[in-house]
Amino acid sequence: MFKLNSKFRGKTVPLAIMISPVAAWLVLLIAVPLVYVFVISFCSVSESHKIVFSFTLKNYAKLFNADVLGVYYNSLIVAGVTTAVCILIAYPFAMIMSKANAFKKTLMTIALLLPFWTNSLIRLYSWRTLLGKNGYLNDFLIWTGAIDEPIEMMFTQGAVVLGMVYTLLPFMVLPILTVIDKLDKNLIEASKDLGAGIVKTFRHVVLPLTAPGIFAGSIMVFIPSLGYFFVADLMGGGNNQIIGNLISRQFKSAYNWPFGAALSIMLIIVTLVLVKIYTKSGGKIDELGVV
Amino acid sequence: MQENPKPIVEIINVNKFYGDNHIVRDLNLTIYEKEFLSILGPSGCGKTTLLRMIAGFEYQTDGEILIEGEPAVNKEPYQRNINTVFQNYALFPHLSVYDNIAYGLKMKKVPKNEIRQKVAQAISTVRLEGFEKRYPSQLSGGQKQRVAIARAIINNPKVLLLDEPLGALDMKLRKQMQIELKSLQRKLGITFVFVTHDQEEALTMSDRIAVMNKGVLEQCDIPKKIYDEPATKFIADFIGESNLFEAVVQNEDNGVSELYSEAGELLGKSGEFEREELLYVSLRPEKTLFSDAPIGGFSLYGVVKESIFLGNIVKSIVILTNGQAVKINTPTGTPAPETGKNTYIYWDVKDCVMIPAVSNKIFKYLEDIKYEEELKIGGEEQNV
Repeated sequence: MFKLNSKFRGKTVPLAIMISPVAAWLVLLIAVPLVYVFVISFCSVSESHKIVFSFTLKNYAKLFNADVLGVYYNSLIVAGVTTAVCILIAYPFAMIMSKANAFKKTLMTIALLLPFWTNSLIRLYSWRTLLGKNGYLNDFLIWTGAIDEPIEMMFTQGAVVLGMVYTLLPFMVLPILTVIDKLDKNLIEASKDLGAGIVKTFRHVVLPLTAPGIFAGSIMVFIPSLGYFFVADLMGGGNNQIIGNLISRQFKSAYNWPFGAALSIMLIIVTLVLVKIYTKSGGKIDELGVV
Repeated sequence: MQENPKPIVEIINVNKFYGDNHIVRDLNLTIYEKEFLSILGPSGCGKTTLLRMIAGFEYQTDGEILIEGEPAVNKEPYQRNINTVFQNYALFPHLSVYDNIAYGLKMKKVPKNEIRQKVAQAISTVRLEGFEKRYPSQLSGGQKQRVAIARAIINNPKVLLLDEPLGALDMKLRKQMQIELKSLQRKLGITFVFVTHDQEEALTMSDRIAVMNKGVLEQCDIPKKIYDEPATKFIADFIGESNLFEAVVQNEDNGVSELYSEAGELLGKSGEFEREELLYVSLRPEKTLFSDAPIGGFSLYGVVKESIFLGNIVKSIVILTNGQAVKINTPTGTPAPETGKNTYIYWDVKDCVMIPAVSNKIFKYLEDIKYEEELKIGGEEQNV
């Protein structure tokens, strides 16, 4: 057994010194930028795209412009469908994973997390070689005679959803896996003992008890899929704008930082509201911080 | 129990393996209608596995289980007229007490009015009035226990299986629940199969006790018989306290057999024993007696190592000449030698139990094979 030298026992580094590096990191890289974004969201821009520090609410009024509303609509559909598809894939996957032996479980975890070692842009590009007009899938379909001409599979809303699901799936699997692992197997036996078959047991016992995991996973998937503009860019080719694209455009090409800031603040508020609903309904904030 | 009890569950030559582990060995047991049967044994003896096979959560590797005369092999747990009270209660945490109890009826699509009526009845049976709207997390251990019982009996099972249901309760509550369970069983008039590792619990509650050890059903009988006439060395040791003498038959004469043990000569009951046959002579501590002078037929001699005053009895430990410790309980007030004094011990022949060692020998033989192999491996390692 390791024993602490008596010289050091009872003596600790002052708390302030211990946490100061982390605190400095959080303040400099998160708190300060957030405050800055919040402040400029009430500013306006001059003719030469300079930020003018005069209080205005017009950036927030602009959030309700018709063209912007269209982007919200598209974005909500992409995020909603992405979340639903992720649930449908992740739930059975997590169930199989939970039942697998230690070796298979490790293998599945590696398969789930390994893609994170490659840059997501590169991984998304690889879809082009599969789905593009001259891609392997089109080649294959023409070869089998199913189609005569290559069909456009990239640059559609479906492709954006595919990219989102592909990128965000692990964030759905892990929280669901956590709740399924925690589920007391005796409850399933008790349900069967009391007269419920597999389907009824799933509906009345398994699903309600794993719902917090589904909800946690949905937050982890829904919110990023409103903002992952690079997925919409690469898979949607500019035709399928989501809120993330709108924000990135304000900062990069339109030079309207205050409006971009207002959009960001709105997204943060949506996130906070969803997390609040999650914790109100009994979810634990720690279980959101997976991976 | 009735005069001619009707079998409700018949377990015939059942074996259960988990991989190479032989959990239940050639088990035969008939459970009758309206009886309170305890399955007693140390942890890992296969008692829970046996219960799970009756419930339908596990299937036997071979052998047959009949429920109400029909083979149970293709019946799902919910197709059996049997319900289970789980060890950790397994209450549905997302459902209220009312909904937990109503679960079985809801699954069977019983009309709502009827459900309300039956749940109210079950709640009053287990005396949980006023707790209907609470959730399991807001209940104490004893209350959870009652909900688990109410939930299991609402389907009117013919057999209720209870897997160490009192294990998590404190001593006082445990005693109280023992009495309640027993009276509940009489009131409902159904079979209770009660799994426990607590011999006292089994002795006080059961009509019959089935004692299991290492997957083998060693004895199934009424509590008095189990206590007074243990069939195996294990049971003599496991149920209550016993002094066991490993002895060899020398002679049989006039209803008394003369035996020789490592500690000296002793007397036992006669049977159809062979000369030189190995036996265990088992004595309860309260039936083992002190003597100042040698008693005919006995030459067990030792020194009192300890004597502990326990209120109504004095518990002495005597170390015999071969080093064996013998427990002797004497009622307070009767003379007993003090610590450090030498003494002879003996007993009334009718109080001892003769346990043939044959069955043990077979298992011992099997165990010895394994043991020797391990020894060999150990030996080789030593040689290297």
